[in-house]
Amino acid sequence: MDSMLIWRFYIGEHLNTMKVIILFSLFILIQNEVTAQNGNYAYVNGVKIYYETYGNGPPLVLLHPFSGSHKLWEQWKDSLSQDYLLITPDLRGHGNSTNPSNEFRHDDSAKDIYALMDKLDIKKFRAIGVSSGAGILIHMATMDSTRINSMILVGASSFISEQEREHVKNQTFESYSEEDLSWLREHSSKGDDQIKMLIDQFRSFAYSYDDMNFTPPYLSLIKCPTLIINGDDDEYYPVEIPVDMYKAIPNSRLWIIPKGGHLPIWQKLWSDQFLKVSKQFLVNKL
Amino acid sequence: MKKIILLSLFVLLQYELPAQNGKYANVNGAKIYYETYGNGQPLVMLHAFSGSHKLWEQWIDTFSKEYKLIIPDLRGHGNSTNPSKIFRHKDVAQDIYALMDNLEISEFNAIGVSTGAMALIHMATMDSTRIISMIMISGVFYNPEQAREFQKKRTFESYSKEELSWLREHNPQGDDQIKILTDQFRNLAFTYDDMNFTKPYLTQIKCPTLIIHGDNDAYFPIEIPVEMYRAIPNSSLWIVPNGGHFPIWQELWSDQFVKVAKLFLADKFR
Repeated sequence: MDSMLIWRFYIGEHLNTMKVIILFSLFILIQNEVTAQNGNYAYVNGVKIYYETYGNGPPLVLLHPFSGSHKLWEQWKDSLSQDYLLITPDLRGHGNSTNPSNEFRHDDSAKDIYALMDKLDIKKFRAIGVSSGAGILIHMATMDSTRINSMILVGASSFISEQEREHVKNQTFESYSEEDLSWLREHSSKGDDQIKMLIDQFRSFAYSYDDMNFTPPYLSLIKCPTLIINGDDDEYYPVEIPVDMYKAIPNSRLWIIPKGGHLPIWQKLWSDQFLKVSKQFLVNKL
Repeated sequence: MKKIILLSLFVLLQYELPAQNGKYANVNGAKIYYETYGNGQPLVMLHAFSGSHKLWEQWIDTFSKEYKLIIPDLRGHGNSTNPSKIFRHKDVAQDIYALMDNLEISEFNAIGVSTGAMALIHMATMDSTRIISMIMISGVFYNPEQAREFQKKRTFESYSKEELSWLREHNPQGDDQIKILTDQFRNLAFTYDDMNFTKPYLTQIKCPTLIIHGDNDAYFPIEIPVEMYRAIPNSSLWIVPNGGHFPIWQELWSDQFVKVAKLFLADKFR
């Protein structure tokens, strides 16, 4: 009898424990979600910039290409956040960030990133930028040569090439394939209106001359160690462009990836090597 | 005692020979030393000026698993002779074709570094049918001013201790061999008709070609491989950041080189 009572008591107590465990697990799950996302907003230059942060260490800013988002850095996040405080923003108008001006200029974005760093009380930092993200870094490094410790430019150009103008000038929402659209929707969380706005901005690159407009003497103002990574098969930026940039930027290194397209570091054969080389470069050991 | 020593020597020699896989072929008046390893499609590896077959040592195991490697000493280098005492890349190209004829190899893949890559340019333009695919590391289609300036100043006396020990490791026929090679190297500064390919000429190269070059090559500036990449129809360009004249021998890049080279040679490089 006694044992029965004890048993029932035990079950009752166990049920309570179960409840606590379930609630606690839920709490941990929610906590985990929040810390996994690490998302925040910063109000800068009239726009709301979304950014995520991971890890600890010296700050490393990662800037995605046009029409992408912070999500593009997913595969290297864990590895890089072991050594660095990663800051992965959505550029103005991209992802969760706003852009009331409905215009995209790389120099505006450059100011956004500096303002974001100010908000985070970060004076100096390292940076990796891809395509438009790299264009923004060129603006940032020429605006102020004191704040970037070192930077990696992937699929970069010092100007908008004829090939790129040809490519963007006929882009419309309707011209995108389902595959393209699903990629865009993954990165642009605010729906098709956001995507349409980005495409309009993208198309206007065809007629933009004063934003990405860096002559070799201007590029020589870049003082930080710079690693330039381009594909030999980049459909927009022929290799002569990164070669000229390499010649103009005093403290630069050039990596041309064979059979590499516009975003070569995401190609399976090269992504591990990108991580390996980047890590060495960022600690000045390349 | 004597017998034991002789026997051990014999055993040692026996051991030496198959490990080396070394043979000689008499071609174009020169005796060309070469080593072979493995089985499969033939892959010829051509070393740089003043080097030898030993330059490829670190990759023999991995490549010989899939290819029949043929690794010669270029004329006058290593164990090979060069009675003419003149070094022309074009002669080397003819030597290699003759060596392939001797081995009854009609078609083959090839990797060449520096002078080895330049011999490959001659080979691929002489005959577009025999090279299946080729990798050119630190090659140029003409000898630029920077390199000539460097070549002009080279004398036996100018070598550092490290350079001499490297040269002696690759060239076992004594310092006279090294002195001849040095004279030939200096002579490159005044040679114009050997490495002298205009861009239309380069378009005659029909095989898939992978061009690898260091961004920091002190003698051959990157504009040259870029021009080569533009001129050779079926080519890809790999510039190695902070890479010197032997860019993929660096630890950071050698594994990636093997990975890329294997895909490229298997025609699976996309």
